[in-house]
Amino acid sequence: MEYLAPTALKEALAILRRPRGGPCVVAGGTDVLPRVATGKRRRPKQLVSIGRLPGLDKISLAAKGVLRIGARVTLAEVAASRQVARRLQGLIEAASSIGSEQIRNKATLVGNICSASSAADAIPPLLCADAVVEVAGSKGRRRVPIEELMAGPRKLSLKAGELVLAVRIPKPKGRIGSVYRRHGPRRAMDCATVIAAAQVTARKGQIVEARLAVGAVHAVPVRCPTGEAVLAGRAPDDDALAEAAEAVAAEVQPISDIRASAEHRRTIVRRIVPEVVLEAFTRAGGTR
Amino acid sequence: MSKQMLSFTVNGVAREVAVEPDARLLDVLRDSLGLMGTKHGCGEGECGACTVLLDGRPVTSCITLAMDAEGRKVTTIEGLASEDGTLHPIQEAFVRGQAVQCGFCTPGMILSAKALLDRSPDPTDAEIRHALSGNLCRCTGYTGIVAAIKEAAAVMRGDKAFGPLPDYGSEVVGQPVERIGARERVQGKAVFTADLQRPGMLHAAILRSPLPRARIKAIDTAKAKKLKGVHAVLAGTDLPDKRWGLLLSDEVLLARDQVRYVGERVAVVAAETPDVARRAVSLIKVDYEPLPAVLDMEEALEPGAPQVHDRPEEYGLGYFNAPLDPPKGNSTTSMLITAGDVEAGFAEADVVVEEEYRTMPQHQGHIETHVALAQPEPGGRVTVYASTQVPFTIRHAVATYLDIPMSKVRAVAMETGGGFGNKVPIFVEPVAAALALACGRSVRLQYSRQDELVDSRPRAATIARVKTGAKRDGTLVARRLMFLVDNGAYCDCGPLTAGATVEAGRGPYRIPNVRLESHSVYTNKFNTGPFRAPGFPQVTFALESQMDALAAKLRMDPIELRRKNALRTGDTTFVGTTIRHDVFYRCLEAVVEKMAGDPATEHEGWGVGCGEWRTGGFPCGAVFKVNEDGTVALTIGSNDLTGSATSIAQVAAQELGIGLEGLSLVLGDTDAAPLAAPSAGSMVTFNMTNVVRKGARELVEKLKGLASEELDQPVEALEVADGRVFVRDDPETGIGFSELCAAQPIGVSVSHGRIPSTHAFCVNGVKVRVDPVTGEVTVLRATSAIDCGRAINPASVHGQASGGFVQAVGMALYEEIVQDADDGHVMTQGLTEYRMPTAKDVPSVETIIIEGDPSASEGHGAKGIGEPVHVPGVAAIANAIAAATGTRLYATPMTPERILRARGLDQR
Repeated sequence: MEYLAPTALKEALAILRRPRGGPCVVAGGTDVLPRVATGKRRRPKQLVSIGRLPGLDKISLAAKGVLRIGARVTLAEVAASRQVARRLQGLIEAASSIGSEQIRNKATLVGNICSASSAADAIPPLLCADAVVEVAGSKGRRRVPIEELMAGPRKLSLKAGELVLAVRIPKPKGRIGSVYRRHGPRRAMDCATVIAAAQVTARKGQIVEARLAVGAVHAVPVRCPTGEAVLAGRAPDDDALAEAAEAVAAEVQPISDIRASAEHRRTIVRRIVPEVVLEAFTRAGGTR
Repeated sequence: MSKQMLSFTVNGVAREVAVEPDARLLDVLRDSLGLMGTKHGCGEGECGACTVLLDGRPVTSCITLAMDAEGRKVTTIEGLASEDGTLHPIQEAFVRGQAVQCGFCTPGMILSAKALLDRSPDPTDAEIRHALSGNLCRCTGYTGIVAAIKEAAAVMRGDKAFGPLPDYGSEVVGQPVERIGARERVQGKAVFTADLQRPGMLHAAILRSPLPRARIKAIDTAKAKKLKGVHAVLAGTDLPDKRWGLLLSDEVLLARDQVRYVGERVAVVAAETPDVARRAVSLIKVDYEPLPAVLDMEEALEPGAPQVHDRPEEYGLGYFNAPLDPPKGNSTTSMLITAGDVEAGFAEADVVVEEEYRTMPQHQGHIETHVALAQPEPGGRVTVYASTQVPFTIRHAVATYLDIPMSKVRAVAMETGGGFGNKVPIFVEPVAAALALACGRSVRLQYSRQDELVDSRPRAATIARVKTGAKRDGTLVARRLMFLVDNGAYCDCGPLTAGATVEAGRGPYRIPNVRLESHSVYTNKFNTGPFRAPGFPQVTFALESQMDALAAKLRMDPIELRRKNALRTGDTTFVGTTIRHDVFYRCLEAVVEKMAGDPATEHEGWGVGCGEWRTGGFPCGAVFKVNEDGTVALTIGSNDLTGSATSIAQVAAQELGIGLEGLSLVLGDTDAAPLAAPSAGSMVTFNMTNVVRKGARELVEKLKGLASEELDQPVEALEVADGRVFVRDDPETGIGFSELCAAQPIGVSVSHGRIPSTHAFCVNGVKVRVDPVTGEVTVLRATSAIDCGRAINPASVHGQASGGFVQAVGMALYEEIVQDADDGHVMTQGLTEYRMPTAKDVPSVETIIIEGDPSASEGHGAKGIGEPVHVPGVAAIANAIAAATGTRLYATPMTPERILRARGLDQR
């Protein structure tokens, strides 16, 4: 394994044009390195650290109120960011519940997204926020919605020679409530059994728009459009919440693994969706 | 691959090192810079033992590339104390607060704490637990650690200062004396096996069976042997045809004709690097002929089931030499205890409850994995340095497997980073020894976390079928118990697990009519072994859950039911001891008092569990030598994982009338010491304080005898204190040990045979909250009342009780080695999947010491406590969950999934 730490983007992109299976991008390395060490991932030929690339270590406001989080920004930095807290509370909750202090000090938000893991905690709140990633390649830059970035479990839709530079969170229209909730036996260091995120806009007693996403349920985190449709324009009364929960439970196709059965995942989804939606509604300023 | 230059600052000093581009920071710190305080525990960033500070922030160095530290500042544990040797306040607080047991997690824990206190000088308990949740500790249960960090924070803020160290003088028994070696441990200076380096040292790797049962038709090692850097490749047929085991000599070191479980050792390699060794293993070709396997313990007992061993009745007795009937087919042991007339008992019962409880395999979870270093010595001898609980057992196993006399084997116990039973069976050390003798070079075999989960000796899965009958007023009248233990492919300690447990099948209650039966069973799965009170947490889960179920059926308070049937003063325990000072009842009442002050609210519940344990007598010796300056060296063959050496030293120092400073201890070297109690079964303090006090008394008599001649005084007139013998009525007239020693060397060697076994009770009270939506369980409070005879060192008792309970939380709520139903292969391959309690998952444990019923040990009546403090926790948690939800669970771990399903909430 070769270790490369390019100091300019051009240099990095050139390395990444090497044949597939060769180069592997690492930021904190907290996902790739243990997976290589325990044989869960093939050893890459080159480890390409982005640790020395300039301009990727900031959380900043871009045009049109977009919040841009660079690829070197760690989860600890995200969790402590007031800008992020004002924009997307659910992302704060996700970032601060991943792994341990040691992991959060190295792991990056973009790294969590690019793991394309079913249980990547940060993805569900970002899916709800319609976040996109900023990708650099030989033909310039393009923006890719996170849904499209994930080509499958642990697979990205990037072409050879492309690198994710940042994640962009668009400015929502009006006040939103954003919530992230994870389910698992332990209270720390746990790979979640179920993740649910919601983003709601409210007008007085009504949900104007609800966005829902689940993680650790499907092979990759997904939005739940059927459940969202149930809630749009309704008051979050027990009936509406139960109906939404049923809709989400019906539309998910849970995986089964040693952490939990598919049935349990479906049960949890059904049981936590009302809580998560209601909390997001309250955070959005809605009153029941 | 060419090396790259790495420039960084380590503990304030600029360093430049040539490193492999993919080298881990952990390896560079340890191997290139010799900073051994940074420990390797899992290799996947889950346990935190390798924590260092990178630019002031904690990271796990096992998943940090060394090159990522370029230009940055790294702080390791070696960088914390001042240059003059003054400990950092966190280190000092860990020492004083008894926050250190084995010491393996300690450096990482202290660094995480430092990062926290640097940014948050006055953290709450919750903030401390959050900050430590990436540092697993398996010994302390975190209680002492959290308290120590609060103390350090106060000192660092300037709110208080550390007082002078207490001077207990020579009256040290019963005092919370500082743990011997704690100061070295908090600085990362304690030497563990992997910290040893030897010139030309080779590394071992193991080829494991991919099949649950198969005949080995051929093994081709030619390609592996040809690989550059490989020095030896051994298969089963390269070793003497010898079997060994703790209770039955049924296990081969490397599979010979057959493999019997997925993960069984088939061949081993010694090579110049771990990487080359692993590559060589992948080049070995084995031709297997698959055979039918049996994976289920109940199926294994059925007629016509595949037989795991062809002629098990021919196997000899094991290391412990315990008289056992030979195995019959897949049943390795059967035990039956009857009293009264069980059928008549049930006939007279008004209420009967009959249930089945199951437990799953649990790993001991010691943070230091198994590791041994074997070094060839002149004359065909071999020295084995190991992370172990049992140096003498290593010597026995190595000599047996390699068919050499014991005089050719020396075993040395290094500092050991936790064992909890898993470092009693022997399967690593003889492999290293065989390879070292085969290639004439030192060989280290270090288990990975995956090796641990696939092929060590975890706690056995069990099935307990229990039926208990009571009169309407709650009087217990009958019990029937059938207890099955899944041994796995070899016996190891299965018969013990199945045997001792049924003897305790009544629980701490009077039940006149019983039929208590058990079987341990061979299956084609990994071996199981002793884990903290083998069998007892499993059977107690069943028995104590059933007490609550019975109480519910009787519409009686579960505490009342226990009070009504409790063993009281004068009653006989299952061990045969007679209870004094009502210790069981007092344990129970002490816990009940705590519960009464903190009633459960909605979705909460309190549960009680009552446990007990037998600590056996073991033949032991000890050697005392008076040094020329009057200090004393004590050599014992036991080693110290928990702090037991401190208790032993307290007893010796007090008897000899010298302070602890005047005593040095040599531990765990089979060449230096006579046979001693294994650091297992709670035996060390109980046994060793007995033999050591006996020896100290003999030494005092010898010194008095010599002084009597010198001083021309009768022996009866003499006393010993402060390193001298003097005349009681004329203390000025006396003679120092050093002067007596100048005339002739003075020492004694003592021993005892099996002293009578002792018994201890432990009662846990636990309060939990069960989330009504998700079934997640939060342990809110835990109290532990422990009957310890005499607490030689109360701080050590608190540490044991906290750690023992938290390990029970793991078994109750999270931990299971998941095995594939078709071939038994392990699916939980690392600490991401195998989940142990973090600091954030548990509360501080409140310990109540109950004295008054001393053991027969001359060492002030100390009882073994390491096991009993772990026994009742799972049952107490199960009862608390039942109290909170109205629903009882019948299997561990009690996961949210199982809880929701049991409550019928899984479809709603």
